[in-house]
Amino acid sequence: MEIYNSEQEQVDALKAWWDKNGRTALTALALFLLSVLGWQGWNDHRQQQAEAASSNYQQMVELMGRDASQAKEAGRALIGSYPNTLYAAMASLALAKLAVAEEDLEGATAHLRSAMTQSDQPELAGLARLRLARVELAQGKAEAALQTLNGGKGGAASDELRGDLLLTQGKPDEARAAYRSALDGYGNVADKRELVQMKLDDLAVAAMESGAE
Amino acid sequence: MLQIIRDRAQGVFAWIIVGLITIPFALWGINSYFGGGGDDGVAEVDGVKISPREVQSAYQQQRDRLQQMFGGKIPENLFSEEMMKAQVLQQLIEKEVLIQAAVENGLRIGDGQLANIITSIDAFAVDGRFDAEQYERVLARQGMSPRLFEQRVRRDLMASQLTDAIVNSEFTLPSEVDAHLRLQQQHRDIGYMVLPVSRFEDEVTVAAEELRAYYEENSRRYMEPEQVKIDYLELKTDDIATAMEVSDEELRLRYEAQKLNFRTPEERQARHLLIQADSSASVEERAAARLKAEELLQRLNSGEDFATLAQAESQDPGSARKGGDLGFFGKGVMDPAFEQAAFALKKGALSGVVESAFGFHIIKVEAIKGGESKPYEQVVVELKREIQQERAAEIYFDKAEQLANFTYEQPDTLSVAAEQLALEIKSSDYFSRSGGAGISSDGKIVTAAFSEDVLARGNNSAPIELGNDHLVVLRIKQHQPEALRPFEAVSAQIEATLKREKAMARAQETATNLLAKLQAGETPESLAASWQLEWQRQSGLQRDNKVVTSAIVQTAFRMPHPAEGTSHSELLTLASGDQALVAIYAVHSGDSSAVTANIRSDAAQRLERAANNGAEQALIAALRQRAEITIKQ
Repeated sequence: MEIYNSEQEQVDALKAWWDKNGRTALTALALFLLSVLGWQGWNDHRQQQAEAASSNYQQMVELMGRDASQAKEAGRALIGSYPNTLYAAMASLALAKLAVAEEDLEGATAHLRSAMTQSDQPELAGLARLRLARVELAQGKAEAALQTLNGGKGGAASDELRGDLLLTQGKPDEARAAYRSALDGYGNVADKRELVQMKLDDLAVAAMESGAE
Repeated sequence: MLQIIRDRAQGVFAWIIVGLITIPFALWGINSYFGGGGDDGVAEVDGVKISPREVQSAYQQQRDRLQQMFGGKIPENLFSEEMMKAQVLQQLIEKEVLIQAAVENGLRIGDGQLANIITSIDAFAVDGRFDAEQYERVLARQGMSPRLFEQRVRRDLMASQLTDAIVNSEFTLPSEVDAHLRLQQQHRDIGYMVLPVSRFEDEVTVAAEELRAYYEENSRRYMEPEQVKIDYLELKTDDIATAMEVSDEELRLRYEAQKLNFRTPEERQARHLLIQADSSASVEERAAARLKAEELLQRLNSGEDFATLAQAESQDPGSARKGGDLGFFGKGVMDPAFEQAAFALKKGALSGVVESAFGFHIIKVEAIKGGESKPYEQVVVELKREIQQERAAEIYFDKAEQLANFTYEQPDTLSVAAEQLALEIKSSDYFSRSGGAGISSDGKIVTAAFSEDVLARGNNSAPIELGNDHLVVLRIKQHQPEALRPFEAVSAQIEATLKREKAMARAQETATNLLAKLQAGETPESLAASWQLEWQRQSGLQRDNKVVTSAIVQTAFRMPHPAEGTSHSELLTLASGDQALVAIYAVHSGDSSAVTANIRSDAAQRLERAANNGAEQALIAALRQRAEITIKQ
C-alpha cells in the first residue's frame, strides 16, 4: 500500500480510484444488497407459506372430530395450495384415516401413496408405507402388501405386520420368526410387546409328545 | 501502531469503513451476534445446547408432579435426584431432536396459532378471559420474559405437531379388530390339579450338620447390617417460639392495633313491607306504588303493628306470611339500596320509603348481631402465638448461623453448641442405611449419618434442613459395623428354609412322575385320586379368568394348540411352591361378531394406542440415531 503524505493526496488518490472503478463497485454493492434482500424475502415468503399451511392443517385436525366432509375439504385444499410440504403428507395421512372410517379402502391406499411421496421425512413416509401395507392386507392383497413392506426400511412394526401376512399365507414358522424380531424391535414399548407376545404364544409348538385325552 | 490507526481513521476512509461495517447490522440486526452463548450445556444435540437451568427446571416440575402423586413426600430411595435428572435430561434430548426434525422438515407455528394457544391457558386468565398484565405477571414470577416463553411454546408446538401427526391419523381396520378379538377372546378347554408342597414337609428331615453347612455357605444372608445411633441438635422455629416471653403490654398494644381484624361480620334481622314496582312498571304505576307505600308508612308511624300490617299489605309473598320477617342477613345479600337502608338503621327503628329494584320498601330492624370486635381474652392466646412466631422467625436465622458455626468450629462435639444456644442433645435408636423410626425415618438424616465425613471421620454433620424452619446437626453416638448373626439366632430360620427346599424338590419329583404317567395315557382323574386330589376341568377358560390361579391361566394360554382329540400337558411351579399339572384339550377362537360394540371399540382403541406408541418410539429412536448427541458427565 502506498503511503500518502497529506489529506489532499489521499482524496486525490481516492477520486482517481473512484473514476476508474466506481461504477463496478457500485454495481457490485447493489447486486450484493439485492441478493441479500432477495434471499431474506424468499425466506420470509417460505416462512409465511409454512405458517399458513400449519394453521390450515390444525384446522383440518380440529374438523376431523366434528365434520368429516369439511375435514376432507380442508385436507384437499391444503394439499392443493401447499404441495410437496410435510403438511401435505400429514394431511394425506389424515385423509387416509377418514377414508378408512368410510370403508373406502381404495381411497385410503391412494392417500397413503401420496403421503409416501409428499413426505421428505423418512419416518413419516415409512409410517405411510406401513399403513398402506395394512390396508392392502385388509383388501386381501397379501402379495401386494408384502411387496409394499419389502420396499421399506423395516422395523418392529413392519416385522409384526409381516408376521400377520405370513400367517394368512399359512406359514406359521416364518411368522413366528417375524414376530420374534418384532418383539425385540419394540424394545420397551410395553403395550406393543404385549400384543406381539400374545400372537407369539398362540404359535407355540409342542416341546414334548401329546397324550390321548 | 494504534496511534497510526487513530490518525488515519479520521479522513474519508474512516467513513467508508464505518459505512461498510454498518451494512450487516442493518440487514441482520445486532441480535444475532449476541444470541445463544451464555451458560455451558450439560448436553448437546446437533450443536444445540441443553443448559443446566433447563434440566433443573424440568426436574423441579417432575418433582412437583411426583410430590402431588405421593401426597407430599417423595420416596427418596425410589426417586433419587441423580436418577430423576438423568431421566429428565433424556426427555429433554428427545424433545430437542423432535423440535429439530420439525423445523428441518418445514413445520412452523405462526403468531396467530401461538396466540390462540397462549390466550387459552387458564393461568393467564382473569375472570375467565386472557389478561395481558396477568400474563406478564405470571411469567415474571417464573423469571421468564414473554419473548422467551413464546419461543418455548412455539418450539413445543412444532414438536407436538410432528408427533400428533402420527396419533391423529392412526386407524384400525375392521379386519384387524376381528383378528385381535379372535385371539384376545380365545377360550381354551383345560384340566389341572395342584399338588401342595405342604404334603411333603413332614416327610423331610434336616440334619444338624446340614444346618451348620448352610449357615457357613450362605453367611452373607445372615449379616446384620451396619447400624448407628446418633446424637443430634434440633433447631425449630416452633421450639424457639414457645420459649419466647411476651409481655401483657405488648399483647395489649397488638390487640389495639389489630382490633378490626377480630371483628365478626355484622348481621341484621329486619322486617319489611314491599309495594311492588319493578323496572317494567310505568311512571304512573311507580307513582301509585310510592303513594301506597307512603300511606302505609303513615299508618305505621301512627302506631299500627308492623307484623300485622306486613301480613295484610306486603306484596312480598314469602315474607308477608311471616309478618315481613326476613331473618338475619349479612352484607352483600340484599338489593344495594335496601341493604344501605337496613344497615343504617338503629335497632327497633323504622325506615322511610326505600326504593329498590323491586319497588318500595318500609324496613324495620329487629335485631343486630356481630360487628363487634372479639374481646381481648378470646384472642390473647392467638395473639401471643403470632408475636412469638414473628420473633422466633427473626432469631431463627441468627441461631441457625450460630449453630452452623459452633458445630463446624468444634467438629468433635455438639455440647458447645448445645450450651451456647441452650439446646438439648437428643439421641436416636440404632438404625441402618435403610432408615429407622423417628428422626432416622428421614432420608436426609440417614444419608448424612452414613456419609464419610460423619461416619468415618467422626465429625459433626453440616446443618441439615428438614423444612423451612427446622434444622438438624448430628454426629455419631455409637457405631455397630456389619456383623454375622450368631448361628443360634438363625438356625430355626435356616431349618425352615432347608425343609422347604427339600419338600419342594420332593413335590417336583412326584409331579414329574405324574406328568409322565399322564403323557403315557393314564386318566388324569385316577392320577389325581391317587393323591386324594381332584382333576379340575375347565371348559372355555378365558384370558381374564379370575377364579383359576393366574399362573395356571397364563400357562394355559402359552401352551401349543393340541391336535384334534389329543391333549398336551405341562408342569409348573406356583409362587407358593406348589406344583401344578396343566393339560390343554382344545382351543376355540373368539367370536368377533358376538362381542358388544363396547368391547369392539375398546379393542380398536387398544390397538391404536399401541400402534401410536410404537410409531412414536420408532420416530424418536431414528431421530436420535441420526443426531449427534453428546452428554457431559
